[in-house]
Amino acid sequence: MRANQLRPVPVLLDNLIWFLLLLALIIFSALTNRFFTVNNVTNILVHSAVLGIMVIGQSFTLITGNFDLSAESNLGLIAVLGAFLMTASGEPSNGSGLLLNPLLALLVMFGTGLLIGAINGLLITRLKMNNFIVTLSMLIIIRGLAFLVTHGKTVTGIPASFKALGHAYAGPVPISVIVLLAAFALAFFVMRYTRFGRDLYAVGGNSDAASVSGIDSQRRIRQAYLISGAMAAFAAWIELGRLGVGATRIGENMIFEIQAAAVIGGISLFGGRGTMLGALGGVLLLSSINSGLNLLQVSGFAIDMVRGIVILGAMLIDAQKVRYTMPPRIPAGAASTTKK
Amino acid sequence: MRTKASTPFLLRQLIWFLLAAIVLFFTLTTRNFLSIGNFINILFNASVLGVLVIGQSFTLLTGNFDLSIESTLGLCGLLGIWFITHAGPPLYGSGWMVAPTVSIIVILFIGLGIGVINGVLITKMKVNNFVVTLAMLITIRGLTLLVNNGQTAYSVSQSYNWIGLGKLGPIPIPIVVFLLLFAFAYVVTTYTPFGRELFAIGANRNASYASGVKPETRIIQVYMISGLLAALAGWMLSARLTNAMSSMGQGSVFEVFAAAVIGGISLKGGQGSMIGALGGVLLLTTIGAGLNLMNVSVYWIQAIRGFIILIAMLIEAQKVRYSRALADPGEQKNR
Repeated sequence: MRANQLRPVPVLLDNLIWFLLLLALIIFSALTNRFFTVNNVTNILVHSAVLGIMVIGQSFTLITGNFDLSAESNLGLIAVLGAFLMTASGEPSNGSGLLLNPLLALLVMFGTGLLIGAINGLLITRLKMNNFIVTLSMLIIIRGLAFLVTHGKTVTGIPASFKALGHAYAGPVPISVIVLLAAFALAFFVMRYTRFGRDLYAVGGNSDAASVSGIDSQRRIRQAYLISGAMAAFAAWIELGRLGVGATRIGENMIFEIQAAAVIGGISLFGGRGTMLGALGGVLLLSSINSGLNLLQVSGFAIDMVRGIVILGAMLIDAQKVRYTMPPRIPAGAASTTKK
Repeated sequence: MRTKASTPFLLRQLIWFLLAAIVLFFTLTTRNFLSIGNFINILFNASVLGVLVIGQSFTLLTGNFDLSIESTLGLCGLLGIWFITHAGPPLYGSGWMVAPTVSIIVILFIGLGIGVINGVLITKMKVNNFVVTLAMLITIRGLTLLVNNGQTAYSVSQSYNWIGLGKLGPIPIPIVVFLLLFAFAYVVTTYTPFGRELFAIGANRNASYASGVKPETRIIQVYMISGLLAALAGWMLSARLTNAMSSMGQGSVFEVFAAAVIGGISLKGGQGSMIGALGGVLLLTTIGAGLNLMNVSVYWIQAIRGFIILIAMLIEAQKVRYSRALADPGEQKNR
């Protein structure tokens, strides 16, 4: 934060997501006295854990200017695979009967996540395929594989030691919340203070310029996909603990919410812009809105709609912010809103 | 593009060679694949996807996305039936008993309206097209759930269902509609100034503006086309099924993108043709039908289809690299 940015309006614009979050908190607190309680705030944070971890992974790829649409299927496959490996065969567990040690299962889960990340990264960088299409195809393939693992059956009987991360408490605080905040802190640190992080911004800002200045863009993009894969495994671990069962549909359609949270938080879809702190704000905003609407007993069917409108509203404000901060350099009518 | 000899021709028409290879493969591996009945069946199954792909291709040509079409399809399909049927069991409509023709006109206008909202937000309010249509996807799906509280509505109206179930001689009407629309879209994009402007905007928006094209107007128009065709697809699908679940169309946008891009429509805009997109639609549908005939387990079909899309795109990416190398042998392109 340079001194000349500390005028009132830019501060508000730079930290828009936190003002939106504050606004949401005030509105919901005014509408229901059950919103701003220790219990409910804890609840919001618990519900943010899986989404938040996924958003971290996605943000790494987004900052390099790449999508990882496959993340949601990745989460589903890893969750159901992990549950399958650790549980007894036949009804009611529907597991493999291997009764794999949770530590080994975790090894397989993270291995799977990294493998998928590696495949995505290699296809995109070595074979020069479009990242949107690669990860879109992987989204379809991996969801298919998730169905193959148990033929669509839900797996129960996951060992308690494995589930602890998702539902145990350290004193009054859920472990998943500590993990969420620690993960964001680490990601924030990496992105801001390490060479790796700065490289990612450079790659996303201008890949060719990054290459010229000695950064191996292609390698950085592969690494971002590896991180996204590992984060999906991490999120699957928490989700299995929270739900207690492994279902093949875990994560389905979640990618929309992941991208919405990242983008509301200020991560640009076209690379090079945004911070992990903002992304955390996006996650908390979406979770708070969900929780508030639930407490207000808004019909479950209406929640989706309201959420969509809120995202649209936030992006509308964001677009005006970009227009305000960046004076137009090209004729007004030709200002490009499209991917370049 | 203008390079000599037979290889570039093969590359340009790659989608049709892929389709021929797939047809040949299924003909050899299954007994009933090569029959008129099965071809009609494939075209029938391709019709709704095809209509969606036409709309999407219009937006893609200008370098824009329209993710919201799957939700527009769901909302319009549900409303089309909901307006015209009795409330409560067994049909679960609104009880308004609107005339089917009026209902159809209304849903087509709703589709247009959604397109206008998308287009205006993107061009006039300068919100990113991906985000706008993503938010619309979520919003409209929510609205669809809300309309009928998640309940499926059923249609018994002949004058509504004809577009899905009717036949023109031996040919099902959805096939006629979808092939005619492709022909029409091909003519519009290839031979009219409107079509050429779309390519110009997609290839280089600032240059097109400088040469007198109005990008903002054209972009709003392509979103209107996309919304209108999504509504039409919603009518066709709900009429064929004679019912509309609130989840109708969910997840189909992935397939729409896959078909368009396999068919050679570039995600970056300005490249591709409607004929290629038709090829993409037929390829995906043929694969689905063939795998069904081979009695492949449903659990495998999804994974295999995704895999085939990936392979097709892999070939496509190599094609782009190869033709770039032909055009400029010295170029060392990184990305």
